[in-house]
Amino acid sequence: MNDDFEKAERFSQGRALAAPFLGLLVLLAQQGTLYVFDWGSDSLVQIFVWLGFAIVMLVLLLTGGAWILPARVRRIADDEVSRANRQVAIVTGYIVAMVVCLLVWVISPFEPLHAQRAANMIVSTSLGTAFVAYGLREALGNAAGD
Amino acid sequence: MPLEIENSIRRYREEAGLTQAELAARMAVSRKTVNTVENGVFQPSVAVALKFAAVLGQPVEALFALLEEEAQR
Repeated sequence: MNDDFEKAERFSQGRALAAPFLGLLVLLAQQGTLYVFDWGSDSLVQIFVWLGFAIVMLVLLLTGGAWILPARVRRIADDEVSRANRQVAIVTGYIVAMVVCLLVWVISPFEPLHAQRAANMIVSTSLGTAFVAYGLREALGNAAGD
Repeated sequence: MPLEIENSIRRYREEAGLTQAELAARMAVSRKTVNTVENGVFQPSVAVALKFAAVLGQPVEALFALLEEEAQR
């Protein structure tokens, strides 16, 4: 079997394992388990570190990663099943984002939320669930067979 | 979206003496694609269906068929 195919398979299986953990990492960070945000702080470090993290996660989700792999390996690792799984994950994340937005709408008159906190909640829950969904679908596709 | 087709990929693949990984490598797709198409989880595009046909040496119609209820609509 050719080397490109094996590299693509290894990457694909690694991605299927890593994606749910990345999703959980984003969700845990949002819960303040790993880092407690100072909402409304003008700390450039806080603003840009989280912004950079969120943008990288978003681009990873939209592209499927494998940025440093050769084009042919990337094509195999990002074939139509993988792209379809990513689309389902993105739709899942979108729906979660809408639900969280609606909850913010309902709750904020009674429990005022800083805009930064609301944005963090929406983006984090959306990205987190999208990654978990993507990883699970990839893992299911890799399971069984011969 | 519910699947509209059934396939005979596994039968022809096993007749050809190929594993899913070997078939996937020849088609330049992931093993996941072969696995999900074979198990009826994923409905392939025309391009992938043609790749299956080319590698297995069978016409597309031998590999894929409309489900009976879809054919009768």
